[in-house]
Amino acid sequence: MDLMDKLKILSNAAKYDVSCSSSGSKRKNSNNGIGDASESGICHSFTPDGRCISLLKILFSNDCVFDCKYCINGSSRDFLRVSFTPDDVCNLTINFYRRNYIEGLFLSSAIIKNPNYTMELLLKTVKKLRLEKNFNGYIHLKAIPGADDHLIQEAGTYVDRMSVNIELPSSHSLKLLAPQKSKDNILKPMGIIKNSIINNNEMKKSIKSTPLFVPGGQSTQLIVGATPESDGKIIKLSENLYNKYSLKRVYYSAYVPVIKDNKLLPDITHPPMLREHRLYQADWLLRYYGFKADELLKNDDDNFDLNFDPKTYWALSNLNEFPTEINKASYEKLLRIPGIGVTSAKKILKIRRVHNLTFEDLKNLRVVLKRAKYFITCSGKYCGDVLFDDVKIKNKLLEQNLPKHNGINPNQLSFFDKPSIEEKTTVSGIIIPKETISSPSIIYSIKKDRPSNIILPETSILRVNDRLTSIHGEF
Amino acid sequence: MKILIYDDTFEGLLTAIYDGFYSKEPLASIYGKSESNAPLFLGEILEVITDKDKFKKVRYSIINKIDFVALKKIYMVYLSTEKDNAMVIFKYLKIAFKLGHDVHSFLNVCEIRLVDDINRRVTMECHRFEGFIRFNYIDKTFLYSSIEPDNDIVELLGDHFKNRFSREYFIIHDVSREKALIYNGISYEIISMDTDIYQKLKSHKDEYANLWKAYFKSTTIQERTNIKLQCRMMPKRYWKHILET
Repeated sequence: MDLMDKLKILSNAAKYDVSCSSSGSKRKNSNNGIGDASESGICHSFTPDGRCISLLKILFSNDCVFDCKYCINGSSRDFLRVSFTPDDVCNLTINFYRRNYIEGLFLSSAIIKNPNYTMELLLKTVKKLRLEKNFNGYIHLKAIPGADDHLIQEAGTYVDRMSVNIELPSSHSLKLLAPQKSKDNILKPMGIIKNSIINNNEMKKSIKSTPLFVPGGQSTQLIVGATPESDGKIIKLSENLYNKYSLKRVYYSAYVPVIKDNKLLPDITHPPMLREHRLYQADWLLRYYGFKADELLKNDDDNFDLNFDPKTYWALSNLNEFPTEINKASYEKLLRIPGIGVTSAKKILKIRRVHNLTFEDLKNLRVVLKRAKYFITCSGKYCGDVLFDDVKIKNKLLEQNLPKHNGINPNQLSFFDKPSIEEKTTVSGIIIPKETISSPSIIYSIKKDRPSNIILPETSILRVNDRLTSIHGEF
Repeated sequence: MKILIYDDTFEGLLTAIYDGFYSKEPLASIYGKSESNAPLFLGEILEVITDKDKFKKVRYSIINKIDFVALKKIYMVYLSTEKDNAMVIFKYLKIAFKLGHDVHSFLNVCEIRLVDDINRRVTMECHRFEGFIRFNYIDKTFLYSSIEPDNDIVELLGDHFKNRFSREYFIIHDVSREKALIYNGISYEIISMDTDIYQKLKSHKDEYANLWKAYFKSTTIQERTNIKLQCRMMPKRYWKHILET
């Protein structure tokens, strides 16, 4: 089998791994080699699904002894099994890198024979790439759960990032869908890598020439929507991973229904991408905005609102903390305003030392005011176009979500239109529509018992808090 | 009212700015020689003779009275395709000399904000091209890449690729500006290069190009297709020189 066919099969098998970052490593070109890492990371291309290609993402082999139900490489599946040789991988990486197609290598693998055998093969490959080919670009390597400690530790000295995928967010789901994997098995290599990174950093303080050890940190990935875990559970798990295992990133992967006809897996046609997006937003709030998981979702069983991003949702339910005065609030407070991120907050801090900011200034600075304007004051002046009231703000924000051509009244009334609403006559002789317009089915209301005073068209509004929608993401 | 014409070099531009500062008449505009949009009847047209001393004086005072970052920023504006970029720099410096090194905080002043924005645009494009450049390995001897960026960023890419490919020979050819960055394993320089070379080397076959195209195809997840996102991250105007698209 030639290289082209292998590449096609093994990159196709690796594409569901989302991690693609090439940032965080300061590895320099040395020994007259090729490549050096860019600390900010560089995206080299973008596929038609909008994801960036930064690393050559391939499996070493798809010949797996495990049989995970969600995975296309499961051992019970019938398809062509192929493996690269270490030389194949080295040649591809060096030649792609030289042509500036990629920033480095992302090497993962199915479990061939047993974890140790697989890890040894991966280690052999990266060693060859670093020592023989003098490659100094970025390498992201999967740590194989169940492999010996010393193999994982040795691999860590050659690569820039390591990751162990958790995939399923609870041990119950693991048992059900990935019977050969277990929670402890996955967390053990994570612990090893974490401790080695800490040791390495300590050593670096006293000995400057300490070799690098996983300078880009470690990451993991969770599949969203394959199992019934709620967003609350997932985001708490992520928070723990950041705190206890000091991970650099947790990636979320909307479940793509690659395996049909399995009763254990949900039967969906599209991956729940909006839900994945909300989780990423919440993840950012944890890492850069000083939020805690239980601030975003109070109960473990809660899911994120698909209509509002997590920060807006938090702000609407904590309206007593707003409005924030742009010219006085601390950095932490500025970051909590919906629509204002790290860049805008830093800009505001910088400018207000020399100038009192007005609403116009914020507009000129391209601070995103679509949401922020309802939550801020500039020198005491409130600039939202509705009263400072949670229901009114909510409606305004929902209105913005509607497509533009689809205003409050999507269809122009025509003389020849048949009345679409059935009417009924009350006892007192007044004709009212049978379905009152303010029927709660189309309306966002915070409290079920509150009579709603909002009128919005039925079209294209997402039904909120619909468990089914948010888990399966079909709409 | 006066209109100054400089010779398209950065030295010439700073000389023109020196003359502008010390002229008694107010300036209408400053143009580069190659810019054809100079208005005819706004005033007297004067050609600036590039003067190394004047250039050094302006450069020195920007570094001392403002800071090095400001010099870097106006150089980026000089490289940009912004209309009237010379006048943008002139107005910026006029304010910046008053404010000193604090100038970077005064983003509420529109002249300063404009320079900041242009600076970011150019840096951003430069960063993008660190990724979007595609080299073709010609006869296993040297790497050749053609680009058509919006701004004149070819020289900004030199250090990045020199660090990466310190042992290779490479050429980065800006086809629309007919210039190229050329590296010989030791140092790089900018030379002029016409489009014939691009036409000749364009169709060169490279086996790894096919492997790359195949990889690009098989790594796409069909179920998640989102062309709009792809076009936002990798604008269509660059696609001509990106081989996989």
